[in-house]
Amino acid sequence: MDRAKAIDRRNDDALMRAIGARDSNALREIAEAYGHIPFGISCRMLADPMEAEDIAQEALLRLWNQADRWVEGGPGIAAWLSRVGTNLCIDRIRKTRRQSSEEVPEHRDETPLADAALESDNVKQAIIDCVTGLPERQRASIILTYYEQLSNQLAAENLEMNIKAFESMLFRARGKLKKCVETKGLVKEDVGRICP
Amino acid sequence: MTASSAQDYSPALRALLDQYDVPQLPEGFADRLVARAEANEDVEQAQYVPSSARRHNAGPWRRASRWIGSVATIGLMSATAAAMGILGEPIEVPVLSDIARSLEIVDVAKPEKQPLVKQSAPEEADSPGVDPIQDSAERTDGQINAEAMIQRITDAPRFKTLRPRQKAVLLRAATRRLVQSGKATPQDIQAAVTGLREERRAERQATNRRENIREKIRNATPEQQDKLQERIDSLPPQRKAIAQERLDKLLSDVPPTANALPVSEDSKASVTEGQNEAVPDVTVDENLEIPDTSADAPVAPAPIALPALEHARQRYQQATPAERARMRQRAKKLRKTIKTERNIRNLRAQIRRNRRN
Repeated sequence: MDRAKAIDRRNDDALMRAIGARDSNALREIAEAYGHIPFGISCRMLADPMEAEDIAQEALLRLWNQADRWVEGGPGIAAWLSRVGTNLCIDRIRKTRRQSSEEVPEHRDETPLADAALESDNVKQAIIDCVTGLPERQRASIILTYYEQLSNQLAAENLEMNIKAFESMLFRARGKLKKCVETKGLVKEDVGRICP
Repeated sequence: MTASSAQDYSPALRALLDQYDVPQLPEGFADRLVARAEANEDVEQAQYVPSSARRHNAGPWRRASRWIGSVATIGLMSATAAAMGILGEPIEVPVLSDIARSLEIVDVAKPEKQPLVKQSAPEEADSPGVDPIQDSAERTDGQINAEAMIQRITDAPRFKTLRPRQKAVLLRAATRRLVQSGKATPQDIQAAVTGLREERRAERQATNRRENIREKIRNATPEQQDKLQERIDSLPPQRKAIAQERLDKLLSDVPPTANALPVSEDSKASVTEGQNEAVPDVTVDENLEIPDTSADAPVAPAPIALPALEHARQRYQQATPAERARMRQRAKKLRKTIKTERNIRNLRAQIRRNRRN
């Protein structure tokens, strides 16, 4: 994120011009600078690093293919990638739900993240369950505003929503999340241990 | 993780959410991406459209409008198909049928608009001297033959004594013979029957009108009679003579049926009832076997109403419904007995013939 911030919008425009000229080095530079944005969003949305990498690549490839349509002076590559990454995740979740003949599980993937070091962490697994248990748009609203630190306005724009509707949805999402962690007993028992 | 929006979360919840971290970008992510981009592998010409409407859950208004639109579209398609004759015979559908006709898709004439108010009978039918058949399209030979045959039968005095069912049977037999002889087609006969009916209706109307006028003149007060006479006297000599003649004719006891066909008492009665018994319905059944007789052969004598039969009929008409039912039962038995006797007689004759052989 810090690196992304370091690249100002003028640099974004210059990079996009280079991509328009089919400069693969520029694409590599963007992937290294901004790749973590779609990857992070999709990783938290889907709780699957493999899928997340696929989504991140997909978002960056779209940027590569649509470089000629880039409007200079716009919100920048980071905003564009977070928007496209979020929508790709929502599409992927819905597609998976449609293709699945079985009832949609409450949690998309029971397996913990690939990181073996965290696999045994029950608290983390519980919070993952709570986040992935939210409906896709509510999940996206939490991820964009809390983890990606987008303002409500930007997050609403990412989800193509009215700000009021978004805030209402975010409020509901927070309520569900709180209820979930309370149900799992995380707030009362584990918070003391987690919090310094 | 701290952010302005994070202030909305409680510290405990924030601490929990911070546990959900993500791994770093996998090694070689950028290389794989560049390789994929360069190889143009699986690269779809995806367009960055501001997220499409399908991502949103359709609201109730949108859902309702979709339903209404779908139903309207299906209805319009069905109506168009019906008007264009895709579903069978083209059906007259407002606007669509006009369009189909203008595009020469269907070849159906536009139906005439039905008048809102029932039109009165044409004036020609009221005038006594006009023959409606003469005004219609030119008649074929078959139609003329059929008319002649029907008139010959219906004008016979014996025909007028028959009951409607007997009349119908007689006419049906005659028409069958005519059709078989090839002198007329069923269509000719139908047209002839229709024409004759029209003609006779016009005659009856004229007769009734004359009767009414005669009644009015007879019942007129002396003053009215004087006025009428004055008006006749004021006419030019030629017209005066004609008017005087007509007046005398009207006042005479003899009914003025100079140009009208003879109307029987039965048919007069039918006039009052508004029925067309003078020319009963004639349907041509060509499948029936009929005797080989020519159309010009004299009409077969109609069954004569015998005095006993007439008496029985009168009794039947005066009887109560229960008595009528009994009478019908008796008649049925009688018919069966006659048939059985006939069969027995035939059997005996057969046996006798066999013995002789």
